Amino acid sequence: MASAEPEVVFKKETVSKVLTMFFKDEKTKVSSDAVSLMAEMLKIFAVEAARRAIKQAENEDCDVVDLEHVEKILPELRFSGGRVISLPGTALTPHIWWMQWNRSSSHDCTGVNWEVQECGDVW
Amino acid sequence: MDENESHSQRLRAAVHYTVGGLCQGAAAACGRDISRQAIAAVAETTFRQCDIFAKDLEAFSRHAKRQTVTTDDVKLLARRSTALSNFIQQKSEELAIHNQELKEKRKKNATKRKSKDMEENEAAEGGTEN
Repeated sequence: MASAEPEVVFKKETVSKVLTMFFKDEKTKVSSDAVSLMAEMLKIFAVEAARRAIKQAENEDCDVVDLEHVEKILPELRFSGGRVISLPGTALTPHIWWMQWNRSSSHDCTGVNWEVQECGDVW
Repeated sequence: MDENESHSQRLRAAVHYTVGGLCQGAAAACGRDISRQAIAAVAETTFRQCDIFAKDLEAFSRHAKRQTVTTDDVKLLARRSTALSNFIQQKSEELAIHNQELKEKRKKNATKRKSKDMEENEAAEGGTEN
């Protein structure tokens, strides 16, 4: 199950600079540890988005994940409280599906049967 | 303003690069290809999400009357999902352990260097000094 490839991560320097750039107050700083944690958060966010787009493409029987698939899942990519949804069967990296897939949404034309469970284990 | 723009562009590119790698990895794991436009969209979304994260983090730290964003602020950011929150907590603990180990290592090296310096000072007594 372990991947032999080098892990892709956000560079601490990049994360630090991006966050600082978006701070309203130029005096606001970020601690080194906070930067490390944010790098993890961003990685989860990006992988989450990619995974959902891939799932969308799969449901449409497309071999290539394209812009339209990303666009379809973007509206749902929002913080949402409480429940965590995990994709059954995939266990390559910790998939912390923090965003709740809104099954009743008009955007959901995929007829996906999401397995809803609390994601207790992580790595 | 041009300087700010190019700075922003460079950071965007850096984020894009990493997101690209992450997307390729995720797609490959599912046996699919992902188009460049799709990657660009995910990268742009991630970049914009940084704005939201940054503003939230800044608000949290200001609320705590601090000027430096700390891990506590990041933990607050992750509070909405139990699994995410646990994950961040775990990472935070790993970091703390790592920092502690570094600290002890430095301490050990410092005392080693100190005794070494003392010996060298005694030997260099009377010689040229900076």
